[in-house]
Amino acid sequence: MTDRTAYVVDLPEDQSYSGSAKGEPDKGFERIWDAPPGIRYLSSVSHRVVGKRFLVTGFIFFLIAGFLALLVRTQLIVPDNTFLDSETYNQVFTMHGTIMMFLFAIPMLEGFAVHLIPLMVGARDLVFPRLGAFGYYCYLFGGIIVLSSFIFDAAPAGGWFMYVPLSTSAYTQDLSADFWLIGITFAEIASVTAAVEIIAAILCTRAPGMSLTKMPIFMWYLLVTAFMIAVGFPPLIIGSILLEAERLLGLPFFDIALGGDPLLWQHLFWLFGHPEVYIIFLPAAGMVATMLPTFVGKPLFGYGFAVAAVVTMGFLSFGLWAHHMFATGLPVMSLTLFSAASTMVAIPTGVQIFCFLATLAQGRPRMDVPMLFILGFLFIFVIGGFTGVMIAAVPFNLQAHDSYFIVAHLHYVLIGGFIFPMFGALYYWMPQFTGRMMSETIGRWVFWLMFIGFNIAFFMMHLTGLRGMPRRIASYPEGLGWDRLNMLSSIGSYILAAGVMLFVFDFFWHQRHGLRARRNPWGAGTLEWLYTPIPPGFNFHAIPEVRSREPLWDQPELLDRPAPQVEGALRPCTDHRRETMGNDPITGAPMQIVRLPHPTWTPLISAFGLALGFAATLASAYWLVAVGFAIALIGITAWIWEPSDSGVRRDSGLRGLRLPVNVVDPRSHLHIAVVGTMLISFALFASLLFAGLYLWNTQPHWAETTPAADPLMAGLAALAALSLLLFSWASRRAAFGAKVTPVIAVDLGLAVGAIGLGALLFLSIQPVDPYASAYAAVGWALFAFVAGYLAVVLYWSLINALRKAVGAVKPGQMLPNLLIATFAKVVAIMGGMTAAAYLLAGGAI
Amino acid sequence: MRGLTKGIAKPVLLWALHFTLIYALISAACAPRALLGQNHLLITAVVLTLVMAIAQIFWMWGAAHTGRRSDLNRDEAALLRAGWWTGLISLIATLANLTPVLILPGCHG
Ligand code: HEM
Ligand SMILES: [Cu+2]
Repeated sequence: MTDRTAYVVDLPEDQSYSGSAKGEPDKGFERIWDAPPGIRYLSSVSHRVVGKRFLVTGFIFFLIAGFLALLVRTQLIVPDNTFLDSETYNQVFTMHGTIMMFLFAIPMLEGFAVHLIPLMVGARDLVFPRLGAFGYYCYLFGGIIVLSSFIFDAAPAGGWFMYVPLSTSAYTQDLSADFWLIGITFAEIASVTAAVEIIAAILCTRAPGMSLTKMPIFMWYLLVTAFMIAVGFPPLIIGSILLEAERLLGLPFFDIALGGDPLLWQHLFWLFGHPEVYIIFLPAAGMVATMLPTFVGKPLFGYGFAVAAVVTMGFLSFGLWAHHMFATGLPVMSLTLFSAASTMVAIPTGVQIFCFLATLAQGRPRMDVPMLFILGFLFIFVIGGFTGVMIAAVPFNLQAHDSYFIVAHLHYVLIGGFIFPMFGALYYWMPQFTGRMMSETIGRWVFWLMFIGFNIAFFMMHLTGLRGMPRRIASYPEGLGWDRLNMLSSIGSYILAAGVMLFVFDFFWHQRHGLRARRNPWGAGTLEWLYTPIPPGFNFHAIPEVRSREPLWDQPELLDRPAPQVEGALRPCTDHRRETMGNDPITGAPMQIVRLPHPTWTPLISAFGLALGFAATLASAYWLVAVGFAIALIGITAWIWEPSDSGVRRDSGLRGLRLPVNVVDPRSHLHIAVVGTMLISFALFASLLFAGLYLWNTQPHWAETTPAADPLMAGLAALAALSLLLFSWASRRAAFGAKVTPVIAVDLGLAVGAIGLGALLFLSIQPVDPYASAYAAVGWALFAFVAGYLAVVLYWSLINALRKAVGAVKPGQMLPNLLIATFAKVVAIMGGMTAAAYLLAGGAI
Repeated sequence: MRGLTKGIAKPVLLWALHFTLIYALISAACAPRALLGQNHLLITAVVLTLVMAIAQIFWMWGAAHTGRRSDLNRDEAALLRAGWWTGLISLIATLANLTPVLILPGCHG
């Protein structure tokens, strides 16, 4: 962090400083925040709208995947059943797993995050509303691509983890694997953008006074989850891109004949796959930690313990990936390492469950419906955790591998750890979404049907598994001792499904007949219940100061008057703009005023362009690919070409405190977002490096016979990386200054540096033939990756220069120079590391 | 407060580094390339673990020491407690990373 303060002018309120729009002067506060009517609703970027879109779409995918699960159970209800043929069966369980994991669980938790974060931390909207909207559309289009495979009779059938070589062109000739790889990668863009958004929103837009440890505990869970997404999704994104490149272009990444390794796919997949399980579980546990105190009437026991538990779980869960590969013949010593780490993660998980139980023990909980689901969660999840510790032991694992014991375990963890908390959360927060309460009576039926049905269905699977029934079989002969257990499992799953359908009924019923929610209907302590939950477009007339973790319990001035009259920041809406408070990430002290965008079409257009590009790739219509990506580029350019708001101070409404608008500071929300983006980017890069190192280590022969990169050019590329680094540093310095026009030289310097580095890397990899070996192909992949990032630096720096040249930038508005400085710095480091890798691999140093 | 916040991240980041290095060492010794002999593996891993465990113990001791100060506000106390427990869990997990190298006679058991 620097101590440098940026150039800011102090002008009276009535003078506008830049070309920045004055907003909508004819509208008052509430009208400014209204969602646009009619078809223009699609252009809304408000977190309430986007959050609901995520929740509804996610739930529909849950119903679809649940229906597929019932098909599976119906097929298995009796021996030798012919309800589904085996190919269809493969498609059905693959799509079930895929949709549940990628298109339901993650988006659903994003929906909760998007909707609840601003309300809980005291912000008027998510910090990057357009990014949220863009992410949603990416997810929607990606999901549609995956689902549409059914229409083309090319549904993926290789299991949810798409193992190679089964999913390579040799064994999956149709497009099914491509549907999976392209659709899922597209949907993952939504997840990583959401991660950046969650990190920046929680760190940068909290209510005045909300320090890190005054945040609702749910925010810690979401923060850790977001960091896990940022580091955990990249390995799969890289793996999928490599596999798609192998299928489409014939590059031999996983081809044994050319020094590739199928285990590389397994490593990349599970480097993502295990953290994924925790990414799903942690937010759900965070919801439990938020709801539980409300029903017990006491604060969460051991906030500090819980924080320690979440943070360590977030890290430790990355050291477990190879426990999914115990049966692949890895050296026993590595297996033992993963076994040890898998056992260790039980410690923080236990600490956290202990916090929940201790909270429960502090009082007599009110047995409302959400509370029932919490108890259901505790019961089921603990059993799942117990079988988890069993299969973390290598010998037992080899016994249970690929049997129904695993299916039982994974559903105890996922349904116990996610579905039950989620249904509780839906009952609990439904008033926020619809303004009405769901039925207590029906809710009890929903719970008991789900709980009993679940346990009948899945407890039996432990036994079928121990009796030797493998997973993923379409039918089984009579008389192996599996018949009755399977029958019971299927009946249980129908009961579970009846519970879910009853919930759906309750949802529609309550929209008409449910009681209108009172203010703070559950008597909770957190900020989202400050206003009566009849969903308005706006969040806070004035953003209250927070002095406690449970402000509604400890700050009487918040509930003793109608919510709109509560004192706080930003009540005067002088510029008629959407805006919220920005804070220091750690102390929560007010630091800036954050201007937020109004409804816009750019996210939809950009996401549509990408979707077109991806769909056209599937159809091999390459001119259409170009059109799609061009549309996306135009959309994104229009998105970022907006007048800057920085450079002025405005009254914050807090005891006369005047704060800069969109401040130029490393703690700014935009800069934090760039840091988050670069974390993701570096994780992507590291995944590629891992691939290279892995092949170098396990296939030494191929590494030796691959020709070396040109050492002279690689050396020059390292120098070019250094120059890019220098220009980044200059750009950062310039961002804080008052001079504008001379900085164009720095922008152009960045552009030239990017071109130079790209060209030199390209020249240095020339001697290597990417089709000759997997190792060589990874070398080229590294080049392509860095080149992509250099292209962004080039485009962005030219835009920055152009904006200055046409006079769109005033003194004090050079935030983009700070942002690109951090971006280009990391790109320069990646470029330098690539050059070094070329030199090392060729034996030059 | 910035320092206390870092205190939560530091021990567990060190665990991550340790895990990565141990994994790299085992991979270097046990993959076809066989860069490292068993003895070297054992010595490097033990030294690495000792250094890192000592750093973690030192941080925990520092946290406990700060915790006895009377001028801490509630925010700081919560951060401190979170940091200490993160330290303890990370320390145990760091030691656990060493077990495979310590108890197994060779790569294949
Ligand atoms: C709603 C009730 C559910 C039922 C009745 C159900 C049933 C099943 C069954 C029977 C299988 C095994 C198929 C086979 O191996 O032949 C399976 C696999 C699977 N399920 Fe579920 N499931 C349910 C919910 C969920 C949820 C909520 C998730 C995740 C959030 C999930 C994730 C998976 C995954 C990842 C697989 C593995 C698919 C594969 O082998 O590729 N399931 N499910
Ligand atoms: Cu796992």
